[in-house]
Amino acid sequence: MKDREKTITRRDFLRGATCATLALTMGLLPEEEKTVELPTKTKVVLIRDPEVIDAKGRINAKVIQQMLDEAVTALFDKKDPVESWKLLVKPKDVVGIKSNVWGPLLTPKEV
Amino acid sequence: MKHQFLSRYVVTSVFVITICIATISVCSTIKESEKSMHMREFVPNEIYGWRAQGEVEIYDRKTIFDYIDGAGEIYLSYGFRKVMVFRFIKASDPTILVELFDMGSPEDAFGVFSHAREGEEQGIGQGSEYRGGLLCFWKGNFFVCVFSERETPAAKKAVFDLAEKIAEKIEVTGAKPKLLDYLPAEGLLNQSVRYFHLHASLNYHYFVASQNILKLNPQTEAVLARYQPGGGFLLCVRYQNSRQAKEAFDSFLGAYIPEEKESGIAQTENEKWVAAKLEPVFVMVIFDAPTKAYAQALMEAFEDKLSESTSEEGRGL
Repeated sequence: MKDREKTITRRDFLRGATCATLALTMGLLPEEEKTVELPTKTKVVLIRDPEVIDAKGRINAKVIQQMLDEAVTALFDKKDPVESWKLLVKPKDVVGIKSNVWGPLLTPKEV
Repeated sequence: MKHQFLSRYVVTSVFVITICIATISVCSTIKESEKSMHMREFVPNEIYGWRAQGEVEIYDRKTIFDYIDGAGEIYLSYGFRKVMVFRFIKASDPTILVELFDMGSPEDAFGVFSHAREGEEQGIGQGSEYRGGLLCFWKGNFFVCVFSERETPAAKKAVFDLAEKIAEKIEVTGAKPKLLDYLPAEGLLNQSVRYFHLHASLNYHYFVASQNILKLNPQTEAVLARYQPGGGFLLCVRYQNSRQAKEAFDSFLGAYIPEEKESGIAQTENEKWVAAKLEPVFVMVIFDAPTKAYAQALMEAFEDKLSESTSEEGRGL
């Protein structure tokens, strides 16, 4: 019974999205949650840079940093990457980063 | 005297049992080793100048995470037994990797193939697809991936021909899961068909609930498929018996559509429809149907197909 009480279904998410949109429209969201507007469409950013890997297959960490900055500023339409990151995470957030160790698609340590 | 006899009897029994266990263990090790040898023979040593280098790496259910940390759960959610990894090297050309998975059954070889299938059929084995240098196919109990670290015309040709050669060597084919036969053909998006056993797999393809409200377990079989037009999802789960199916059905209704437990059909918050039905050992659910009539029609088509297929099975056809 306890498990059932804790169950979150797809419908709960749908209700949540509906409530959040309504709250935003009515200005009911708390101040700290107003930093990011709920998008009507999902935005996907793809950054490509041929210089990120040299002819010998070595990864250029500086280019990766530039690509990441470019991605996050493009995502939020901001000029400053730090300002953009602040819209994504707050100092008290715990951030998990998923890496991949499977040989053919290894997450390089530079990332 | 009686005590001495009993002690000797117990010691002898323990000794015999130990010998039996040791014999069984040795036999299964020999059998496993023969199977590994047999699997190695599926993969040629050379293709267009690429040569298999180094020791073949072997990972089983305990060690899979040493090879694929993060995605190992996908294989473990099926009857995965082991994977052999072969590396093909050719000077100044990209390395080609071959992964040969023994999935324990044709159903689960198809299942793991269906997990991420998106691309066009490539005509290799019993089902295949190619995406950005990675070619995957299934045949019999095996799921095979051939991967080029960089995609060049020569490497692509080698990947395809290597896969063809491996598929030819795997002589035994296997049947797709029987559950797939029950899917109505009209409007079915073939590439969307997923076969799996566990709650985590269902949520990966279509999030239903944080808890296992459909009571999926390693013995349950589930198929999820998308239909057009409308984009509704059809989920069918086969349980081991009617009691388990009934419990799962009640659990689903209670957690997902408590307001319509009797009718089993409800409109959801995205203005689409969900419908659920119980057949003796099956639970069927239609998600995201655009209208109530669509949900009912798809459910009826499925029930007709199920009844037709199960009566054919009963007649041994």
